[in-house]
Amino acid sequence: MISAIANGLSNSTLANIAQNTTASVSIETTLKSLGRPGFILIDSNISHDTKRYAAAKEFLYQAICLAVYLALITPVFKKGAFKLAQKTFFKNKPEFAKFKNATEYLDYYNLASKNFTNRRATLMKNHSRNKFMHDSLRQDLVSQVSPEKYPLIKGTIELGSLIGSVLGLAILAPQISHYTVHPMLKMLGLEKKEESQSVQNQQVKLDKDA
Amino acid sequence: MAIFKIYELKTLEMSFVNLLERTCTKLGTNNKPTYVVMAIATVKGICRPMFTMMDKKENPETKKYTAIREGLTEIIAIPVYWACGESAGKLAKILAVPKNFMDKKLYKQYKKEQITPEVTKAFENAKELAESNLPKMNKNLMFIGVCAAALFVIPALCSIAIKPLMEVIKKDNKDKKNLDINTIEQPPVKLYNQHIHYNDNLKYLNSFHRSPIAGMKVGGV
Repeated sequence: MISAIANGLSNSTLANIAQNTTASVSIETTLKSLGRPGFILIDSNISHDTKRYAAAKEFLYQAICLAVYLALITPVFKKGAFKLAQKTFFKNKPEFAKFKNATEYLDYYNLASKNFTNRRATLMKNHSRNKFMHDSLRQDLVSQVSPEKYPLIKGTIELGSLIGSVLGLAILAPQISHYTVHPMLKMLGLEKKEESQSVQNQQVKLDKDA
Repeated sequence: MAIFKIYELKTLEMSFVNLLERTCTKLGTNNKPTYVVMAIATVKGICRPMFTMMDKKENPETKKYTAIREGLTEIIAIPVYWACGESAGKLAKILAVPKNFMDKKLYKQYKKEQITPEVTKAFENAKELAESNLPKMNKNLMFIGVCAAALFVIPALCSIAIKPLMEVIKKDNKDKKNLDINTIEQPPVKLYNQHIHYNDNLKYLNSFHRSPIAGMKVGGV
């Protein structure tokens, strides 16, 4: 049992995800969007309608955060950071000249992280036969057991993603969800119910007072 | 002077680029899953209360309460993310041992010191595998720790800790208000204002003669 867990934990794909800011934040937000409403629905101390309302609100909030993050922040900051570094801060660094864009580098990085046998097998497949033919990149991947991973480029992309994640999830997404969650809840018929219920409650209270 | 300033600017730019290079290289070699969540929580802890306080539609007391609550949530979240990530990562050292990467039978033989070339080879391979897998396991466990913190630990801790903390803050505010009210309600003792009991607004102006309205003068006042 423990050895199976240990083998599972030494999975390189999972390690790559854990070291990838975008992937880890996306997975975490997805888990939050499913887990938190789930916990709200399990709670037995709240009324059925309140539970539904709170769970839907939490789900919508997290879903909007994820959508904003994936649609806007990731491509802009990830690719932008690479381009900015290539043209300004690290224009004299030879490793930046080897790759056209962030996507090409990340493709290379994923292959370089694989073990020697798997990497060679992937490069021999039809869709990868003409990949990395320039700057001896392919040669490095095919001949070396642990090829150069260019940590400066990887770090630049990660720093861009980190700044994008912070701006997106802490500033932009809450503002967008603030204006979109309530209309969406109204569309789903959850917000109206709350209002009508509160009106009903008020009426009952008034009747009692009277 | 101008040359000196240009030189200073160049040095500043160089040091910034050097710092950026060191930071990027470190992030590229070892990007812990805790970094991003802690950064997000820090900015959330500053921005969310700020946005709440900027809301003009909300009642000031509610705003204050919500902002403190949001701030406290993130203050709790930052160390919890770090602690969960790091402590889960520490488990890697316990799991990344040759025993977990070796055939059970061969490991039993190794333990009983029935050492054959096959057992020695298997043990050496397992040891190498454990060593090479240690960084991967560390990162994966950290990631799992961070996810667990976001899903279970932080909501649980917040529900336990925030209510009592908020009550303490509320109580403090109430005490302060009571104290303020007491200080406001005590009127300053001013001898010339003792006519207040007349209950006549015109008399506050002190523009009238305050002697009894009767006596020797013709025409009253």
